[in-house]
Amino acid sequence: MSTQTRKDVLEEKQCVILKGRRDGISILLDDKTDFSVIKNVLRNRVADSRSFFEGAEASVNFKGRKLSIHEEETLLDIIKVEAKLNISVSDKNEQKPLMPKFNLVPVSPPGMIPTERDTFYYRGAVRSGQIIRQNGSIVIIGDVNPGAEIKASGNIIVLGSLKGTAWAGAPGNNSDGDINCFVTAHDFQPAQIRIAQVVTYIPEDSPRVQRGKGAWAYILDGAVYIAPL
Amino acid sequence: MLGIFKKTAPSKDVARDRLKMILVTDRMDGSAHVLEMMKNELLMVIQKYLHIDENDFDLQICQQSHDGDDESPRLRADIPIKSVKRR
Amino acid sequence: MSEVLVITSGKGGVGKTTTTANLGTGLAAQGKKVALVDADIGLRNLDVIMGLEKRIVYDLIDVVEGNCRLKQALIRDKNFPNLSLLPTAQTKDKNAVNPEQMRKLCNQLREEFDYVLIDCPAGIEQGFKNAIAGADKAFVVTTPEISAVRDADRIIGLLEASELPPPLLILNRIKPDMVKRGDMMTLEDVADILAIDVLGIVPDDESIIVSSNRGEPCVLDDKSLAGQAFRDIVKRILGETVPLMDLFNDTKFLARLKNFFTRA
Repeated sequence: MSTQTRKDVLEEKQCVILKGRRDGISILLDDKTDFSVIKNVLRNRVADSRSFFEGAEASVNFKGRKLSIHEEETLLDIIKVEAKLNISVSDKNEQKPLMPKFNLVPVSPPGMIPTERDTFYYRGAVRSGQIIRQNGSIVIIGDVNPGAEIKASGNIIVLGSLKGTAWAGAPGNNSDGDINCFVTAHDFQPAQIRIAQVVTYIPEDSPRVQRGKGAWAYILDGAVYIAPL
Repeated sequence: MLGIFKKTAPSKDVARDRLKMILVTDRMDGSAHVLEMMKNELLMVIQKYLHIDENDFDLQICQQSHDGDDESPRLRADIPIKSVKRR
Repeated sequence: MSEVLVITSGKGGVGKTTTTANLGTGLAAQGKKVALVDADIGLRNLDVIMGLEKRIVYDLIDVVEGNCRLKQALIRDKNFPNLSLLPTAQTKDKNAVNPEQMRKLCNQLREEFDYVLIDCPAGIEQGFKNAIAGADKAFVVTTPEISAVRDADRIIGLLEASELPPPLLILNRIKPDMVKRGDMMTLEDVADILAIDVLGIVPDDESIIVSSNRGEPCVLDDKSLAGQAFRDIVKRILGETVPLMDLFNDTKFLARLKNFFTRA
């Protein structure tokens, strides 16, 4: 191999770019560079950025270049060896749950929430196996038990315990979902929260969410926040 | 000697014997008319040797035994003989 | 060669789900690639035992109906990357799936996993038929109680009528002190009545409940006697000859019993 110019070296570095995301690591690959070069550059990048991979969600996403299964495996192996990590490829379409962030105080100041939706009311407990689907926002005057599901195109308010799954801003016939919707409950212990296309759950033994306390979940800048009422 | 003191059988033996009995009927019900089929085949064998009253041929599964201790299932046949065939 | 194992019983509540979770986790701990499938549509349980109930996004029905790809529905285990769970739907019922669909699903899973363990629902109708459709082998779980054994016998009859090879027995919730007193049927009694070969025995153990509470199968717990029993069964599945756990002369077990009584 001939000696590389400074320009070559810079260009080489550009063909593999590592980007850390909340749900894993995206690796942007140039699609014009030779695969053998990609391999070497990746190896060096990973070796240099080992700390980058520490604490990562152990999932990696390749972008920018179409890879065969074999090529993908080869690159994964390189990462595994260089970063000494057990890593897997995450699907672009894989709906992987995000970890929520806990805020001591709600982000937005007090005030009326503008809405054009109708709000509906359901009285009674929603039990395991039952689904409530609603076009609009919904207030549950009762508990939502584990195994129950509430799916609304708008907001979800539970005047009781929320222990099931609540999907606010759910996509419907006319929309892809509304990321500005929220979920709130008097006793906030959901199994799973979804807002639009984002899925999240509160990790086990989370100290921030107390039983019997009210909280609400909303999305800001692509991250899920849970704040006390 | 009056009254032989019967030791109370361990409950697991009671369970086991009851189970065996239950399963005999369960398994038979599972394959329909097994008792009926058995009866017909037995009839054919018996009729090689004896004239019997077919209508009075009784074949049953029951649980009693002569000495009263053994509770395992029994196949009991009750067949009135009309006469013995000459062979 | 991949194996699809279905864990059945007939009667509910004898330990199918617990057995599936523990055997699956045990096999994964031995380095095998394992998929657990909850086939009890409408009564989701395997996810709770595995502690993965909050991570369910898609389920078996979604896969069968084509709402998502199999990979999207599979949930990776908390402890083992080589162990995945395919949860079932909570809001549908057993008629949402048919045996042919289950067969196809099992074949798909075969391609990626060494072992596929199917948690069969209780009963003998559609749910059971679905669960056994794609299986290679069946294990029958029962406790040494009269109704459980009766139902197990029925299930064995149905399994024998299907194309599956003769099932193997797992006798669960044995209480050695009751057996000694003559108040509980022995392994010999049960195996004799059911006339099938024995895969293993599992003692009644409080650590099972603690494990469910935590969502951490007891097969991972060194101190759990039931865990040890499951570890032995895993070894037998992998081809090793392991002698049956001695629940009666086991000094450790006797010592534990003794502690229990003195504490009370």
